[in-house]
Amino acid sequence: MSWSGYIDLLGTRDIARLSSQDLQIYLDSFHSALADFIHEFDGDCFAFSDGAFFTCRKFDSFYPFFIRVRNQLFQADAYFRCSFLPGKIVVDDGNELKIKPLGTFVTYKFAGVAPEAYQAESVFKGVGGVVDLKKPRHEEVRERLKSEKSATKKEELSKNIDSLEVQFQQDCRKYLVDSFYISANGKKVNAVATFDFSYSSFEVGDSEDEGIPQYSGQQRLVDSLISSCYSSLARSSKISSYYLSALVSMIRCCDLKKSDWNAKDKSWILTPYAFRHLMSEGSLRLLKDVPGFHLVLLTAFDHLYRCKKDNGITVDLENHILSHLLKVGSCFRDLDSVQDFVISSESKKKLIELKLRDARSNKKR
Amino acid sequence: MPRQGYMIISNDHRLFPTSKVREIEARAKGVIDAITAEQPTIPRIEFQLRPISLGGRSEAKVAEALFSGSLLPELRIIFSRAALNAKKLAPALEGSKLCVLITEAGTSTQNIVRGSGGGVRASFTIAEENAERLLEDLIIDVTLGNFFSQTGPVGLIVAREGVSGLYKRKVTYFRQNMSAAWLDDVTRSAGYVTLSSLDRLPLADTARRAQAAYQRWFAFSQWLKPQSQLPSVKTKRAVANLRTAPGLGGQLPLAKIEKALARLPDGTYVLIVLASASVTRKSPSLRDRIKSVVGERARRNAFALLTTKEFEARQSVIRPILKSGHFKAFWLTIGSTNIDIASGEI
Repeated sequence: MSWSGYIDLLGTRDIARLSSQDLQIYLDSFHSALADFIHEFDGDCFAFSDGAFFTCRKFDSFYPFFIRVRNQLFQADAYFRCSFLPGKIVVDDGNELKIKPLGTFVTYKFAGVAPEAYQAESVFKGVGGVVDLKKPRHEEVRERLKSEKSATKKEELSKNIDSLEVQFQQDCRKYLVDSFYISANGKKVNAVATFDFSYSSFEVGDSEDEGIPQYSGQQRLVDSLISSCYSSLARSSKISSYYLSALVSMIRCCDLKKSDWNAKDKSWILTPYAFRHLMSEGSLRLLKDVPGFHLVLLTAFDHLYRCKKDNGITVDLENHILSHLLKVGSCFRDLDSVQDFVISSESKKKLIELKLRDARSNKKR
Repeated sequence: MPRQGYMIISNDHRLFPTSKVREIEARAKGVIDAITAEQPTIPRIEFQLRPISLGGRSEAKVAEALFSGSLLPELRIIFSRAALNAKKLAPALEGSKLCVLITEAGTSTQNIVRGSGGGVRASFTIAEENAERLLEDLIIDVTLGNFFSQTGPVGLIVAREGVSGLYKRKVTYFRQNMSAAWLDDVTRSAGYVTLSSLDRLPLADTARRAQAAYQRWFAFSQWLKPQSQLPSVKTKRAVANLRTAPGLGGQLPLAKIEKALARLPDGTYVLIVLASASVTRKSPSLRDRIKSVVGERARRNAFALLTTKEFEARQSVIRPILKSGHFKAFWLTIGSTNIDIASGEI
């Protein structure tokens, strides 16, 4: 089953406005990152200017390449968005047109799912990957199923599809994470669910205790992501909300099973850096004006409760998280309109319960 | 526009991560902060290091891609693991006041600064473990250089001879104080060197590094003081007196002498003038001795200014030639307001 996609480097226009030399380096870093890791990729890649089409035969052959490119570019404050969907991209390089009396003419036409890949990428208002799991997969087998006449073979093929699907679901858990991006329309902020490629515990950590690199040269990413989000807020609130999608993916890649809050020392225990950092006073002050930031906080709350479902959560941790969320008023406004993939209805209920408890205890005082 | 340094390295190089680069910048900034805490008038200079990944190309190819066509007036550093041809970089570096080439060459190799052609002032070859130190030194040195060249002796030199005159003198000063430096060698042909490399303090000791760097620049500017002074009234008067000195005529290169005098610190000197050059053609043994004093251009009226110490050390060579009358010599005492020429022979 083939998979394809389009990767687009963001912010080139902004950089071009400042300096052509910077733009050259920025584009160079994009192409170098692709070239540096192309040997990890079992497929074809066509890079030009600030974008690249790629196509491969297997879902999992893209992942190692993608995470390396993402790591290298994100740590250098170069952000991109990348679509990934089932289907093949066919290239017609128009060879016959190259012969020309004066000069050369090079053209590439991308067919197959190329327009869809481009479309998926441009609709996505975030940074990082956007994987399409809705589109029917295993197209080749399905095609054969349609044209197949013998009933036994038909059954075999549909079984084949089922087993492929089971395998895919397993793989997909390994590589993907549920995420969402913010689509801000005027004052209205809306979350749209997507799938992103997962971040390793190393990438979301900050100390030696938090995960080991998946490969040599991997970098921690949280700090550069959060600082880029801060600095873009000053330029455009809309662009700053793009970064939230990666932040959501990171939060959801944090393992919070063992984490806790020490109320005495006011410190986190066994909590990944990305989560600690997001739930800190400093980040709150700087990020609270990013449109849709309250949804990230809600999803962090939700993720914490999901992770803690089996072990239970301590009162100290509950109180701390609540006090943090209370600082952002919009977290408690219009909760019904917040979709389930941002915060589950149980977590919503829990949140309201906690708030009520807090309000009552305040009254007593 | 910030001053920039491009680091052309592979993505698995230890200095590739942006966080590492920021660390270097931050430590250099820490040293500069410690200096400005004492000297608040020092203007800050923004300095940016940029790691540039090879992306499967050779260092030379990346350099070619980066430096083709566009002028880079604010580029200060090109850092690479492979030697780059400085001449090929020239077109892109035309507008640059200073650009150095750093080549990182394995562990525990000698740290050497050489001269370099093209738009590159100097070429550093350093051991891996010193790369961070050198990058920081450059940032510190550019900041201090900018400050010191605004006024004082350093400013005078820059105004008169441009930055290349200043850089050449930095090399001379550095070579005289070589023993203090962590760099192993600076060749005479080097067109630039970092004065902040004149210590062997640990990387993290920013407070002492700051102190050392500022004091070095201050000492350098003091050292430069006599050289920076233009011919003044006192040298003019001294030269006028030389014009009428017995045994020498109006043929003396007075302007040259005046320039040489202006550069000398206060003290007592011996002016030696070659009164007759024909002997250099006739007597090979004398010729060599004469040349050893006044240099290769042993023509009539060639001169040398020696400190008393130098004169005493070389008396055995100079005395016989004085006696034979080929040399004429005068005592000169350079004071703060006047230059005295002692009458009579030595």
